[in-house]
Amino acid sequence: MLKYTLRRLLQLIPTLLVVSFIVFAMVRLIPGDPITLLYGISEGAGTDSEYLEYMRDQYGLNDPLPVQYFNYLRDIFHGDLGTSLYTHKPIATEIANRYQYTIVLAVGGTLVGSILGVLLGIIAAVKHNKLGDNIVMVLSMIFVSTPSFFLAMILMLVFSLQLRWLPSMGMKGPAYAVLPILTLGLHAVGMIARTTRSSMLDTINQDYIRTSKARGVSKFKIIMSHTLKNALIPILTAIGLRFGQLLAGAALVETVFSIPGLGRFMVDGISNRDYPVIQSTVLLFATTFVVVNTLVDLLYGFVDPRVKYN
Amino acid sequence: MKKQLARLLALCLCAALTLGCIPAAMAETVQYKDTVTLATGTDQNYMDGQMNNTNDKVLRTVYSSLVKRNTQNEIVGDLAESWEVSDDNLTWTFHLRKGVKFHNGKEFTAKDVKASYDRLLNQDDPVRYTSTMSFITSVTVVDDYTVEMFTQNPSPAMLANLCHRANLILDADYIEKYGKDLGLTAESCNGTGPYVLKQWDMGERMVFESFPDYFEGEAPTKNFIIEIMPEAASRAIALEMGEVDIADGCSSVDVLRFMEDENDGVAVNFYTYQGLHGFQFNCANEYLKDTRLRQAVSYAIDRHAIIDALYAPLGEYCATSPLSEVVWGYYDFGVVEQDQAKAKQLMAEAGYPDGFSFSIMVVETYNQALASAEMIVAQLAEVGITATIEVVDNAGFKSVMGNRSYPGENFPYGMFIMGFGPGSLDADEGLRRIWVTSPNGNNDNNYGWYSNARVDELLNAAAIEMNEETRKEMYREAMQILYIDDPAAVFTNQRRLIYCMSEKVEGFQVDMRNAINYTTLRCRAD
Repeated sequence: MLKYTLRRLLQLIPTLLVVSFIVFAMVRLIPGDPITLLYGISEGAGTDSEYLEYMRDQYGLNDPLPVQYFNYLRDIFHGDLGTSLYTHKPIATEIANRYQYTIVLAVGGTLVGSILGVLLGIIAAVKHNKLGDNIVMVLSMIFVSTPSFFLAMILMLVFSLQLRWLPSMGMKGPAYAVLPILTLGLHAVGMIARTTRSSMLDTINQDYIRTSKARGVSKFKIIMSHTLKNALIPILTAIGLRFGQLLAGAALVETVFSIPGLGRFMVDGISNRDYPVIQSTVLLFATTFVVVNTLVDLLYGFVDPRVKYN
Repeated sequence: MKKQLARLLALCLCAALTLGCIPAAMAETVQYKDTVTLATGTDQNYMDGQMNNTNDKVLRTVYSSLVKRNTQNEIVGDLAESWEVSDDNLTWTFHLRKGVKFHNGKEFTAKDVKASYDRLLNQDDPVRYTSTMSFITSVTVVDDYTVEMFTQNPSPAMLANLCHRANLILDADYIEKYGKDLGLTAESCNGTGPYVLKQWDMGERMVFESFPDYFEGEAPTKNFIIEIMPEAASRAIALEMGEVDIADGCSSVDVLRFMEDENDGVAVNFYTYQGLHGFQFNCANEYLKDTRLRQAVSYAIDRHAIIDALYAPLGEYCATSPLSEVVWGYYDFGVVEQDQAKAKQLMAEAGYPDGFSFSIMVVETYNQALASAEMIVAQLAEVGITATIEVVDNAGFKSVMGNRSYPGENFPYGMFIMGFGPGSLDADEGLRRIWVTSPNGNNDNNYGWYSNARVDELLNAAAIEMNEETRKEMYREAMQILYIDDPAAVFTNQRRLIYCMSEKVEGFQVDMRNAINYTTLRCRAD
């Protein structure tokens, strides 16, 4: 088990190296460069190409690309994520200030999505091919296919503007987290419900379930401890994958709800072409995603003792 | 109840006594909020006018300059009380206001002016606007309250140029202490303006507190907050909910909705702006380098149709000159009317009776840019010109514009969307900066490689002509060429500034450069 864990952790290194290279290359392939954005043409003021060139030199953006990539990797291994070209602050500080918001959103969204999703999935499986099943399937289809941006706006219109129950911007207390978490959670419900349903249906038709029924075990117990427990592995996988998508979804939701989280930092970084910020945030998202999914893999063993790590 | 009544009566009595003959009704005071919040889409990149590349909206909370524009667009003294220019028009003497305090309590003197300009004009270690302001050669201190400023040539637009954001005065000690990091954090800002920047989370929020010792008197609202909300729809909702008091840059859909709904408590206010929108020609394009074909495009376009459909609902109207009507030097040439027969004739003369083709570049964030480009494409098609549209994002646009190493021929677009608005509100910046050909042929701000010898001659001469009438006449002739005879762009609409705000907001003033006046702003509490 320990050996397996270590091996999985070591596997992270090449994955993240590849990610770092892809991101490094990608940001430089998008048209536009940070210096012209920061110091070039603006409302009521023009450009000055000599000055732009001077600033590019200052930030080392005129160095050959392999040199820039090497410097970037070297800094990362020294624990230095660099400085934002836009805010001129160390990226590590920015991330430390913002990560909490995004984690609250992603964890909250995962919880809401998992609880609702698994519950709905169970209902659908139990009421297989009956009205309940159909309702849940239609609902989950709607949740899966509604863009979270649109969902956020609708929730905002209803709960903030019309009912005035919840605030629409910022993150100054628990009430502020409700709508963003709901947006992310509802979006996750669909996929988790569908996975739960099909995994439950696979299990529900097994012989041992029929045997339990014959033995007179209560229906509730059959569903919760016999069926769900055995159906849990695909559900866990789905939740782990959703977590990654929630991180990405947080970028949108943070922008709509004006929350100073990591996702918005990344989006701002992209629109400012702030290379160090994009590189660091994407790398961090990738790391979180990979680590969460490694954890999910390790969880399999606890959920199902038959899983062996060799 | 009785007690309250008695208290009220006592209060009335006191009021009557103290106010004497003033009627009691006037003594009722309106309660104002101690905090006003404004939501906007983008943050400032620097709170330092010499480096700021965002806009003029916020800087004047913290800083003042020697001279400024008042809301009537006149140039008045700010930190300077009076000024005079020498007979050869090369030396400007400014007499500074006495007793002005910086936010940290230090007294403002000529030393701060010199330190600010030394930093601004230092060619060896340039700031963003070093080259823009390089017409000033140096600044010297005469005494604590007098400075002299020297220019290379006579500068008729001197005072207008001194209103540019680069001229906001910094604290000499802070320049020394923070160097290039000045204006990147709240702590590094020390100005003489009406508000002190207390807290700045870049990209999120700015928190200001009124400065009690501001030389024109403390601002009426204690706290002023700017919330950065990138999503226009979120800004509109926050305004409707009362979470913010003023929203900037609402989408036209929201603006029209606010205008229609009388009971939403939201007022939509329009302000004159120094800017025009238009589509600039790439004069290096294989077809559009021919004056006749540029004229043909210009005559093929029905500006009224575009403005009526897209901009009139927001109070904007057709452009009548290459300069906005509020810029010094403006002349009304009228709207260039559509004339398809003339367009076809010009095309035939140029050897392309059956038309030609090019692409039009638009930026997604420009108001209605794509829709107006689509209308232009349809109108050009009517005379046989084939145009296609390419949409780029803001970063892509700026990099294309900023990368002047392109030879003009390789610039892939025939026309591109552009805003025309000189920060100084003077024709010198409004015309010379963007249309003249520089000696090396690489004028950084002449984005379409426009080149006309007569325009160069007129604009360069006008830049040093001190007689206002002669100067205006030179600009009129140059604009006749730029607008009609050898067109540099299709100027479409005169822009306006739109701010949506709670009906309780009072004293909101914004000048033609989009600089907000923070000394009169307040919001009723009821």
